[in-house]
Amino acid sequence: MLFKKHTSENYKSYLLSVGVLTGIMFLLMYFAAKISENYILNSYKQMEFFWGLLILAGTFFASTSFANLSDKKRAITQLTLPATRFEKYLVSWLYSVIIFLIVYTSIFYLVNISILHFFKQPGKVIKIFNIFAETDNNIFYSVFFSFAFVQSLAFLGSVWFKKAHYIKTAFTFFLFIIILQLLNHRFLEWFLEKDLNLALVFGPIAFLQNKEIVILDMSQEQAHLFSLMLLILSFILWTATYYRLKEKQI
Amino acid sequence: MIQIENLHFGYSRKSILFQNLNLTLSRGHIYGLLGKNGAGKSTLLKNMVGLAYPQAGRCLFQGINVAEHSPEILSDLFFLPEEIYVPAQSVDRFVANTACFYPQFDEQFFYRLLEEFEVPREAILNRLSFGQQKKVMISFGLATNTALLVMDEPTNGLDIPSKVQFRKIIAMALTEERCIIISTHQVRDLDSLIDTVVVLHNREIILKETLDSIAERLYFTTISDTTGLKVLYEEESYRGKQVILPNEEERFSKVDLELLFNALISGKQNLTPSSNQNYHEKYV
Repeated sequence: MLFKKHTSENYKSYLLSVGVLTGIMFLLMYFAAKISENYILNSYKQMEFFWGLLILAGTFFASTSFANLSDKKRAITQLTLPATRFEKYLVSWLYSVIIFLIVYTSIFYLVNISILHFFKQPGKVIKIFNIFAETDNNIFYSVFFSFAFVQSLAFLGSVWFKKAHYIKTAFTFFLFIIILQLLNHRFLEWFLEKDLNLALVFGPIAFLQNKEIVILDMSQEQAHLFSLMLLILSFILWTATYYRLKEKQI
Repeated sequence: MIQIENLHFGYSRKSILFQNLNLTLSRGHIYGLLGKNGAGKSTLLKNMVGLAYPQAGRCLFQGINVAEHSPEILSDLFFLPEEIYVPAQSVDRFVANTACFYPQFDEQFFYRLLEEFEVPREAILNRLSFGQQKKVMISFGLATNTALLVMDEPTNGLDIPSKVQFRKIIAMALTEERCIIISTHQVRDLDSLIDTVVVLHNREIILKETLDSIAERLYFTTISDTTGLKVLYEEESYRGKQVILPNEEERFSKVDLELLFNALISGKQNLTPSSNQNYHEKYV
């Protein structure tokens, strides 16, 4: 009932958003193909588009999930509707994670195939990037787990902040990352007793040794573990969102 | 039906709105909650329906804490806020999507009320005027047949004929099983509508009494000369002096809510039966 009511009240704006996303994606990929060598978007570039736009569109959509609660009039209607807060939470989660992923992936392949068809050249076969076949080299997990993480951040931001949810969430996130980066750099220098040229959070470190630059990066297994950690963080943030919604008052 | 026990509430710890507030409301009554702007009427109503959480104390509806937000509780209460939101849908579609959340919803009654208010059922809600939207939501709230109906400033945005219709419709909707609470600062809108008046002033309920009981205690009249009379409160008007007198001769007069309200907020505590030791037990 709640899902039906939500869909009935929002389907028009969702359809408009689908139209806008398709348009933006088409334009970006069209121009990228046009300036590429031989008008070809190779499968690596296709993957970059898939991932980049997924993060941008996904966080933007998630940041609107509970934005209605900032409007007193809408919040009262939503919170007094006879359904549990968990059911209300679940409908928004389903829309901004599951339904969004299905719709986004469908749009991407529709646009991607159209672009590849548009710039089709006789005798040249271009491989279509298949996200579902990328499980062996960790890309599948990296893409979807990183999406889950940033989506859960934006989801929490939508219920936490009262205005400009997207901007405020992104600002808080980047501020946190900068502080973490600075602390991480200092800590690793102290820990390794070396001057580091680079020390990214959960990323590679670089330093000079015998006048040569040494770069240490995560192994494939560690990268896999990092992806898993993002998923665990997502679950924590989704849970935090639920409790924040539960205690919401007007 | 509604029990507010030792309610402490404030939007921050420094600005406390209610302190140790107690109130009990029963079925079969239409309560008029009166108070000046900013007295905390809306906040009190939000506490009653679980939209605001007390710092201490609790609000019970049929014995259950409203802060639990259980669907069983929410489906038996309807809150109509002062500023309403309506989706971009036809009235019919809105009813089809929302009425199912209220098991006692009476669709026939809803459309009868809409007819009474002269709102077309095929209208798109967000394209209606504010007054028309309010009429739809008042009709919807009444048709839910919830045990508790809370309305915050429902007459704001209604024109004069609609206010008359509103009074008629509310009186029609009251049953022995229902409790209706109407909050307003436009005291005259509640004339001939409520049976019990609740006055909120300076963080506390300073009066909760039935109009019949008030009429037994106090006499409301307009006179030109008050010499020799034991006047409890008076106000100058173009017709003479509007006065409140002790009803020692047990005469009947219609309670002038506006005069009573003005008297109470001007600090005339002798207008409440609070000197009676049993007042709080009996009324609050």
